[in-house]
Amino acid sequence: MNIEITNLTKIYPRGKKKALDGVNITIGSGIFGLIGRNGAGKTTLMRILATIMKSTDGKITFDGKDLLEHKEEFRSSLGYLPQSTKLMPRLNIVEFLDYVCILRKMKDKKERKETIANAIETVGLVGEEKKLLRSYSGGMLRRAGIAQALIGNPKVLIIDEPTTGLDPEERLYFLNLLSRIAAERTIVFSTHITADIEHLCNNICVLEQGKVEYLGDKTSFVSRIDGKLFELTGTPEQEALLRQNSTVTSVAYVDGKPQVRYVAPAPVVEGSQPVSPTLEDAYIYALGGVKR
Amino acid sequence: MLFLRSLWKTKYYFLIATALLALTTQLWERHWILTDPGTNNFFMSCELLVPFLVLLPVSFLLYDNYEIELGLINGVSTLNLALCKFFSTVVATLIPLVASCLLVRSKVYWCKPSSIVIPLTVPEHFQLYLALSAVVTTLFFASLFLLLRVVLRNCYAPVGLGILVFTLFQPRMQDICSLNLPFSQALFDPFITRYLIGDAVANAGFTVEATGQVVDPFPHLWTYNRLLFVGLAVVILAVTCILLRREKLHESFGD
Repeated sequence: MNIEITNLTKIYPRGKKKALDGVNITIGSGIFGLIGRNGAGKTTLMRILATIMKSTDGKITFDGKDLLEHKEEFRSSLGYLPQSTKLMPRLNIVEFLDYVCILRKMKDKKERKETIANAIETVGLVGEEKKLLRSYSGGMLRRAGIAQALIGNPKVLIIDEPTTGLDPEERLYFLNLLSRIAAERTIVFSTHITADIEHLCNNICVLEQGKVEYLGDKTSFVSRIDGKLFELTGTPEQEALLRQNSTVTSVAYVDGKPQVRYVAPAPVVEGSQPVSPTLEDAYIYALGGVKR
Repeated sequence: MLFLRSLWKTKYYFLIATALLALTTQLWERHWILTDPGTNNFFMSCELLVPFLVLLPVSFLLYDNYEIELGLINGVSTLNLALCKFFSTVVATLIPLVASCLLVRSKVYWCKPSSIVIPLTVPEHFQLYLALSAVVTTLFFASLFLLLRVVLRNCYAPVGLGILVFTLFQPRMQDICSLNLPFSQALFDPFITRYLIGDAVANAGFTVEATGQVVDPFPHLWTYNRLLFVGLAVVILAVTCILLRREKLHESFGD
């Protein structure tokens, strides 16, 4: 499914600034990564896409159809995993998914049972059916959330910051799960963790203060700083100089000395070595560099 | 389907409500619970019905954001969700209520409609009393509803408690009307106005019962009673707020 977002703007009633400011994005099939720092407007965009929030201005179309005019049709092919991990704590996974099936207007009990069993198997929660959701770990809750989003076999999945707070193993499991279910689907995936994007997405959008900072493929995004990224292990004075005269993408202290990665047209301090940029370098550069 | 699911989830309440109602009816109730001929539906609309109607929007709180969003994405409006839960609660309350009444009426000899009790006095501005009573009773029950929701995480408990209170105080009606009930006891009745205001309003007259008392205690009793219940509501709300500060609001209102 192709989703076209045109000039999308959102101003909250009591907000002083625009949460989204004239956003234009085209999303095709596969996993589309939405990245930005906290408060950049990712969740607002996801909620508008999920049809649970209205935009102030702008238009969204899917396969050429206006989202507002064909809301029910879009919803029937939509799965959504919000940022919240609470789900319904006093239900077990089967009861929870049964509730979602009922919301999806599946009347046939046998069909519901099969759908639930498939979803549980897909997300690897077989054997955990009797436990209440409140006893699930963060990763299990995320998987239960994905199971919920998969009910009805949706063509579009909207997944809002799913890996926040997960331990590395759970995170990796979750990302692999997303890769598996991505076939023939459009997945819009938001995060502020660049490693997630590196793992999953080819096409990305960087949001900054409600505006699109970058839209395109991941490789081009990284190549924007090809040949402009340098690394220097030097003194605090040199670090201060680099902060003034370049865009610093990271500072790590090695044996008490600052190891600075920075973007500049040419080396600012003698002894700087050119290095290959990572997605994180490109991302931090796009956000204006590290300030602290 | 959603309504049936909500109704099914009231099954435990259904049993508890039946037991409670049967017990209270056996112990306390000597009249027809639903309508007593000594009073009139007019008070019901003001003091009893209004609080329960107010619980309808409050029942939106039974759903947290996640459930609401889940509903919306699946094409089920928030109103629909709330109505399903609210009406399933009402059904699960009414069935044991009516069943208890019918059972008791058929089994216990003295459970017959009482004779008509004519109010002792009719306050001059009874509409004002009724309106204020409705406000106070609503405030009281809504605050109780919230507290119980937070403490028990059970949306049915307040309705059950409301009916329990209602049935517990019901037998005192005749006593109050004939001024046999001590002032201190009447003070704690959440539905005070209805005891003294009925259809007799239309007749613009009142009858003094055989007690021979001529003192009109209503305004004072009513004032103290209403103040007491406003105070109780404030205390309950304060306690609710304190409890909510201690645990996340989101968790408190989850399913």
